[in-house]
Parts: sequence; C-alpha cells; structure tokens
Amino acid sequence: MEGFLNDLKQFFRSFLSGGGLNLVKAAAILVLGLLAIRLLTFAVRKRAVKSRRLDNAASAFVTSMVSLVAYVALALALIGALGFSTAGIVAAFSSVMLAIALGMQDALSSLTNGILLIFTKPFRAGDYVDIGGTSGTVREIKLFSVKVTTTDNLTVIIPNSTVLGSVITNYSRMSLRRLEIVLPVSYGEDVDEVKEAVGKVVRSDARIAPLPAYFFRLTEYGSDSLNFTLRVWTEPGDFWAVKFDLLEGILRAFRERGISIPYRQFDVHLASAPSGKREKEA
Amino acid sequence: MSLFSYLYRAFLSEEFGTLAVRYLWYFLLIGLGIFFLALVRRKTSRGLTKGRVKEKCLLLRKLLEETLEAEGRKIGKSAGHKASVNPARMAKLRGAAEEAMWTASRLVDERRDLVFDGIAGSLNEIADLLAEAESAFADGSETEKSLREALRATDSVVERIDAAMAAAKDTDE
Repeated sequence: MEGFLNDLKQFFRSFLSGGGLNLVKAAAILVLGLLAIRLLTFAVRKRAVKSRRLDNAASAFVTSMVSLVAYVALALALIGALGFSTAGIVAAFSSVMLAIALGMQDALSSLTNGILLIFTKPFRAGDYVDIGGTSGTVREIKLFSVKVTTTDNLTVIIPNSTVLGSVITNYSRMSLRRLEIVLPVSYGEDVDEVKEAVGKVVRSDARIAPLPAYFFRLTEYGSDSLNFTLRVWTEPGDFWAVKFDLLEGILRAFRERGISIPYRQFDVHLASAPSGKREKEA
Repeated sequence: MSLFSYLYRAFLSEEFGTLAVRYLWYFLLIGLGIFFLALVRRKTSRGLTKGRVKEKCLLLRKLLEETLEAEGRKIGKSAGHKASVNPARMAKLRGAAEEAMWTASRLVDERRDLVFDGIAGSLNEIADLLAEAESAFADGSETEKSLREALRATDSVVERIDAAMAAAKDTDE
C-alpha cells in the first residue's frame, strides 16, 4: 500500500508539474489567442471594408490572409506550449510550401499581380481601357485574371501577369477627355467667319464641357490649306459621338456659309504612243 | 495511517504551493479569456439589425440633404463660379456612408443576411462617389452632381431595406 501510494504520488507529481501544466498553459494560450485573433480580424476587416482603396474582394482577401497567419502563429504557439519542438514542423511546412510554389510559379505570379492590381487599382470594373493593345470595357477583376469585353462584343481574359507587364491606358479614369480635330480651310476664307461658324456648332452641343473652355485657332499654314485646330473637352462616354457630331455639324455650317474645304486635285495628261508602234500593235 | 494522512503525504509538499499558484494563474487567464471572448462576441453582435442599417442610411440622407440645402443658399448669395463644398463636410458625408456600409457588411458577416450583401455593395458605391467628390480636383458643379446622385442612391437603398424588412416580417408571420 505504501508503495502504491508512493507510485501514485510520483505519477501525479510528474503529471502536474509536467504534462498537466503544459496542457493548462496551452488551454490558456488557446483562449487568449482566439480572443486576440477575433479582435485583430475585426479591426482589420473594419479598416479594410471602410478603405476606399480596397474593394469587397480585396478586403475579404486581406482579412483572410491576416486570419490565416494569426491561426498558424497560434497553432505554433500551442505546439510549443505542449512541449513539442516547432523547428521540425516549420521546416517541413516550409519545404511543402517551396514545392508548391515551384510547381505553381505562373499561377502564383498571376496571383501576386492580382493582389497588386487590387491594391494599386489602375482601373475599375466598368472602365474602358487598353491593355497591351487589347481595348475594351473591364467586366471583372479577379485574383488571377481580368475579363474585358471588346467593342465587337468579344470576351478577352487577360492573365494578371500580362496586365501588369503591359502598358495600361485608362480612358475612363478622368472625368473629362480632350477631343482634337484639325480642320483644313481654303486660303481665301475669312478667319473670323470660320471661327464664328465653328464656335456656333461647339456652343450648341451640351455635351461639350464649358470648362475648360474650347480652343479653336489657326495653327498651321499648310501646303494646301489653312489648318485650324479645334480642342474641346467632353466626358469619356460621349467622346466618339461628340467627335462625329462635330465633324458633321462643322461641315454643314461651312457649306451654309460657303466656306470651302480644299482637297488635292490632280491634272492628268494622256500621252499618245509614237505612230510606228501603233501600226505594229494593230 | 489514515487515508487523509496518506493523501496529505501524497500531494502536499513545498513545490505544491508554487504549482498551485501557477495552475490558479492559468485557470484565471482561461476564465478571463472566455469572459472577454463572450463579451466581444456580444458587443460586436449587439444592435446588429436591419433597422440599425436603415438608421445609418437615414442619417446619411439627412446629411446629404443639409449639404445640398446649404450649397443652394451659397449659390443664391454669390454669382459666378461655384466654390467646392467644405472639405470637412465632405469627409463627414463619406464617413457616414462608410459607417452605413460597415454596419451592412457586419450584418452579412455575423448574421449571414445575404440580402444585405447587395445593399452593402450599393453603400460602398455611394462612399466611393462621395470620396471622389471629396477630391481636391472636383469643382463645385461636379460635387453638387455627385451629391445629388448619392442622395438618389441612398433613397434607393432605404427603399430596398424597407422591402427587405417587410419581407422578413411576412416570413416570420
């Protein structure tokens, strides 16, 4: 009986001072860790959602990443608290991640570029862009690719690695876009009358922004004509319609006032063949 | 030897006091942790209702109306080119939109109310619109246009919330 009690005493003593203590320590770390993670993810989610630079997908991604890192850290802390060595686990985890990364280089490159796209926002869904020669309206920005619809209704999927490696022209980013038209007029025309005719057409179009004010001046003495440059500002969505309407409207206004637009004319001289050769062909 | 004395001899020693203190300390931490976890959960979920989102939207609408009214009075006083809206005012409007959007997002996250996912998206667009209007390069007329658009969008969101609340009420009945 004495021996049994001694053995029991030894067992409980070693358990309470060793494994038992580690268990309780791990439980405390778990509870406090979960509390810290909850507070951290709440704060990160709040900051990310309210941020104007991150959209819904991006804020969800950021929150998930922070949460994942926090849970991994908590797991390692628990393993350490229970008395196991974390070095081996970290080494094994690193090897696995390296193998995955090597095997998925291209996909990871697109993913990284996708994250950069989400954060830097060179364009948004709905913008009309040109990405390395592909023009169209951005429909979706995902983590691996961007979906663009061209003007002839084709859907083009561009990998994010290609997007960020190309020159991106965003036609929709600014609220106004400048339209420039060069108008050739015959040398004999009155400059003031030309200006009045064009000014009337420009002022009658409500889509042309009043500010910045339009520009219309004689800018070149061409070899065949006086070249006037017209510059107006309009919303990107109205750009082409305004351009076509201006061209047609100015032409009508010129015709009404008798202002001529010169065009190249060629004089053709027909040369006849020598008489000897003509008889031979006959 | 009695059982008590055996147990006494088995468990009580000089180290036992130190060990007991350590155990007590860890159990205290566990208890505090569970308490604060429950408190945080309660605090983040408290007042998370459709009505709360609607309140935030109505506040945003009120601020937009007041700003537009104030701008209207300013135009009446001075002719010519309109100055931009007070930046502090614009920041307040954007903050109100973000707060409404945040509340709607929390409703989606905590209560899994997917109807409000679309509403949170719309509020996010309103906040984006107000943020652009707040930019230093926006002139008065552009800002006013953005504010009117934001007001229209907010009215639309309030209608959608009312519809969602009515639908939820019908489901409960």
